[in-house]
Amino acid sequence: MLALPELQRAFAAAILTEEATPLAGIVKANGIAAERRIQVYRNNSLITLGEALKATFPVVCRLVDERFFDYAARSFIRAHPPRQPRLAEYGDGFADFIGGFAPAQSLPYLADVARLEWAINVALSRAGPRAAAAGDDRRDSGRGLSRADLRPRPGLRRAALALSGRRAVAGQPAGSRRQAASRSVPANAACWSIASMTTSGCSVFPPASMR
Amino acid sequence: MSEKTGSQISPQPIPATAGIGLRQPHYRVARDEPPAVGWLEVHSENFLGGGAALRILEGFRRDYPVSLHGVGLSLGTAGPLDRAHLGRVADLARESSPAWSPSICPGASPAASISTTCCRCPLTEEALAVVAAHVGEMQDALGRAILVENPSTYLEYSHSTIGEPEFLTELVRRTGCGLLLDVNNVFVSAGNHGHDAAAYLAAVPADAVHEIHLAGHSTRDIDGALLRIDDHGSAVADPVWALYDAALARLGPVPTLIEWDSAIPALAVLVDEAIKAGGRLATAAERGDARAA
Repeated sequence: MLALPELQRAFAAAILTEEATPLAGIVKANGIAAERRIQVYRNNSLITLGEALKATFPVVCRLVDERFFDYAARSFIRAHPPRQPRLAEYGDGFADFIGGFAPAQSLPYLADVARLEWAINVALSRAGPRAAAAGDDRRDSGRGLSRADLRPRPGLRRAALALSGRRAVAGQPAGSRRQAASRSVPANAACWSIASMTTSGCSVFPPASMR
Repeated sequence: MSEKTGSQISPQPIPATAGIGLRQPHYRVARDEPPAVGWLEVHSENFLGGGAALRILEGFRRDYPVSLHGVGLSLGTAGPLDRAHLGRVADLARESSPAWSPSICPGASPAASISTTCCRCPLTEEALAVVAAHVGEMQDALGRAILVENPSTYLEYSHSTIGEPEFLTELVRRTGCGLLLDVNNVFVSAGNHGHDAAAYLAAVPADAVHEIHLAGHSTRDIDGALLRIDDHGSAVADPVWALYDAALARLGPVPTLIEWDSAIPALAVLVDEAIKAGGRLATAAERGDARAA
């Protein structure tokens, strides 16, 4: 019998590989082979993590089609299993992984699209004070924004992109969470700054607006 | 069977009506047209970053009692809890419900509850000690009792020595936690291991159950045997409704949640499911299926 820590390490390993696991010897068959029962957890984990990646990288998924994305996601999950409990924070390193993923080499912009989507995800999920609302500056008439105390939001992220992502993100469906981002990506971008905003999306500032 | 186990639970913060699990695809429509349900449940992990997400939650908190369901704390995993994560959950509980301070005003009716799913580990004394220590640590961090949910399982370990209802009963006795009874999980696990779901319901400490979950499941044929998969991707199955009726007959009306987490349909579909649950809750109340009776 394995002690609990060893058993749970073996379970975690069994989820990430297809190899035979010592757990099969201590799981009740009860009509269904132990290995098939373990396989259910394996499938569930891959589906859950894959869905989390899909939610964070919807444009990458659209660019390569869902089956290819699932294939890439599973390869990433096995190489980089989550180390923290928040699914929404899973995916750091996915862009670099895509950049080195041999089957995706024919799409050189894919890693940059993933980099942008990860930056958007970080910007949307980091805590920060409420952004100044439209009209707030009216109370400030006469002084103007030039004298206002402006600080970068904690979620502010800059994403340096080597290649244009315009065509890459043009296929985003209207009304999606990242619609605003897709609309505002111009063709000659070099560096984007992203700040979290509202329930309906985030703002992506091209370099010119951030000089 | 009734044990004096729920004494540390403050008065039920969530009404004994039907609520729905609110997920990201429905945030906007629910904000624009608040659904006619008694309360909402959200996954704590979706709001820990604060920022825009927390403001969405604050908006819903104005209109509904909100239950926070933690899905990222591995209560049954040996070793220390992720304290940074636990701290963020505690911060969220404070931020999303600032008036929520049961140690100061135990008679208050805070519109929030905290629950989390029990482990998928062997049911042994060793595992019970681990889970009880983690539940205790979580309750200390939050300053109140939590509800622990029975899991859906696809395997059992041959060295388990305790039945699941007895495991949960002992957990309640040791920690003063409450239980979140997922009736679909009871049905799924019973089928997957050849257990009697009705016997499970009868063995759960009734006084400790402060919330019920209902969801859909799917089935898979594995080498000619049927395995039930808890995928929360369809309407509640008829046998689960029947089991829910049996639970209400024993427990009385208990806050009941409709969960739908994959292949999420239009919000109205969830509301229809909540209406079905609400009708059964009303019937139970009329019948006087009160646990105190």
